[in-house]
Amino acid sequence: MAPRLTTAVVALVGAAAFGAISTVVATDTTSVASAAGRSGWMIPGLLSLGSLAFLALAVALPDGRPIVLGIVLLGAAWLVGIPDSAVWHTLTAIAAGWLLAVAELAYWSLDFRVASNDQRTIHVRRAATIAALVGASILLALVPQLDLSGIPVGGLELTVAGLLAAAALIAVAASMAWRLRPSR
Amino acid sequence: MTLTVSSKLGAYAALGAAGLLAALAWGRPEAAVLGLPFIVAVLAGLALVDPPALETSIAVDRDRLLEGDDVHLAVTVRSTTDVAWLQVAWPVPPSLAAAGATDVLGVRLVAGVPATVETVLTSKRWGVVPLPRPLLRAHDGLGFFRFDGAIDAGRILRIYPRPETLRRALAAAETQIFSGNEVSRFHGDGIEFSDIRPYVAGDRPRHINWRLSTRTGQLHINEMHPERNTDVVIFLDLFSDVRSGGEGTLDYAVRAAASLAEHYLARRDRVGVIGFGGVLRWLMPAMGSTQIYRIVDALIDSEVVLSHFWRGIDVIPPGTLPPKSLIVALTTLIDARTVDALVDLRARGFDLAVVEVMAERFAVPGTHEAAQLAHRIWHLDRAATRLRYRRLGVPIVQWKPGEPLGPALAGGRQLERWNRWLRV
Repeated sequence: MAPRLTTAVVALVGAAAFGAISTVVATDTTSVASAAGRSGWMIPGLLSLGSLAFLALAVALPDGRPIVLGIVLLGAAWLVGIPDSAVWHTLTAIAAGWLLAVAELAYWSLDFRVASNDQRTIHVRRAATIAALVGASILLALVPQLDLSGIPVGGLELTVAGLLAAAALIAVAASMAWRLRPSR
Repeated sequence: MTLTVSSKLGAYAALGAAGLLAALAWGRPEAAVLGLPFIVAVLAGLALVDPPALETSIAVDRDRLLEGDDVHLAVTVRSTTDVAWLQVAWPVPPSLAAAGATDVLGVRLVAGVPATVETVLTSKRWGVVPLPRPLLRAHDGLGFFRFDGAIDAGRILRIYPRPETLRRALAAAETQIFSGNEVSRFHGDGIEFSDIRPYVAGDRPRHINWRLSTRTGQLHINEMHPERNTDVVIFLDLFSDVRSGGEGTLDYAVRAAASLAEHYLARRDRVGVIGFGGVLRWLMPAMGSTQIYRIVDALIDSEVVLSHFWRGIDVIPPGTLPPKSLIVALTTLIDARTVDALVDLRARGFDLAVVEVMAERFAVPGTHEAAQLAHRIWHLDRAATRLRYRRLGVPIVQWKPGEPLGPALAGGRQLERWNRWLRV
């Protein structure tokens, strides 16, 4: 099916680009890979190649299990490849969104393997859902990169924040339980 | 509908957890940042999931069809909530085939707006087939959950064998009392010239042969053969069915039976059916257009029921085999019970003709020497059975499945004349 092929190719190209960036920036002497003693690009390059192999295997089989390994290897390539600078640490939020996009496209190529009578709308909505999810993820991932010096790190405020977070998690769980309750 | 969590949800949760653990173990917050989008995706998926409440209905354009005909099925689905993607799959039974490229279709449902998914199935083999239950699979927007269900169609498709048009078939030796298309051996009112004899008192003047009478000086009468109907019983061997590659001898035997029944009923003959097998089936001989529907309805229920019980013709209800009826047996000549039953019928004076549905096409010999030897012995055994019938004066026609039945029956008519000569 055409959507499957298109999304698979886009996922593989996205993963290759991600791996290429990780490999190129790893030549910086401040990266973890360079600090390991060998050529800086070698470790992230090998990790990226392994990731591409797993993703290609996943879309060829088709089976979703190798996708997880591919994403883990891509993330590891980024972590060992980025220079130790604030700019690259901030760009990690975008890289995280990129990883999610690669994973979503790979799963999309596995899911949509049948024809549909409203194909265009289905795919537009799916693409919009992924874009919204990636955008929201990037925004949330940027939060840890902000200057948090003014935020309290202890005391009543932190306790309240923790309680609110716990309440939010319980609300999500309760909402899910209510929605998925067995119907009579 | 049954809820199933996809492996994607677990994978995303694992990726998020791996990022957090790596951040803790490695002391680098970037790992947590990389895992954060996957945690967000999982939380969003859990918060937004909503099981669909579907209302479904099935429409079928017809439930009776001939082999090779198409049946159009339409499933109308309506949901009270939006469904990002709904798959409708048709499990196609062996008797049917999907006419389109795929038997799975996807559709997006908007709350309250019905959507119809249509498919076309082509019938491949006769039989009574329960309408396939369409399977539904709804996905949430992020692909984390799927909801599986099925629609109970509760309908049955009756696929009738497509009969072959026969110009002529095997003729009965004896005719009955009702008018029909078969020329009787006896003299009477008819249009087929039979003989000339001297005039006797009471003969109708319109039958006088004036040309011969003026030449001889004595009145002579033309005698005619009357046109009468016959009784035909189609004897279907249900003890054996040699199958290979999705088709078998019984498939073709039932098609041939339907062709013969249609042919004889069109000639105003009385036709009955006997299914001789593990379960005995029969239909009393009758004539008329409704009888063909009774016969094909009885035929499409035919199946081979495994039985080791020895069964003779004494189990056949007496009225099913009228005197002077022609019995056309469709058999593979494999099961000894059928072979002996037919010999018994011949011995009791019934006019019997055997159409052998040749099983050789479906019985491929093995490559091993012993298997090939067994195959040759099997051939010899079948040849001996045919010889046994011919010695009894039974015309036997060998019909290769897949080839037209008409030419094979033409060979049988030659044997039939020889057979009649034997009995005189």
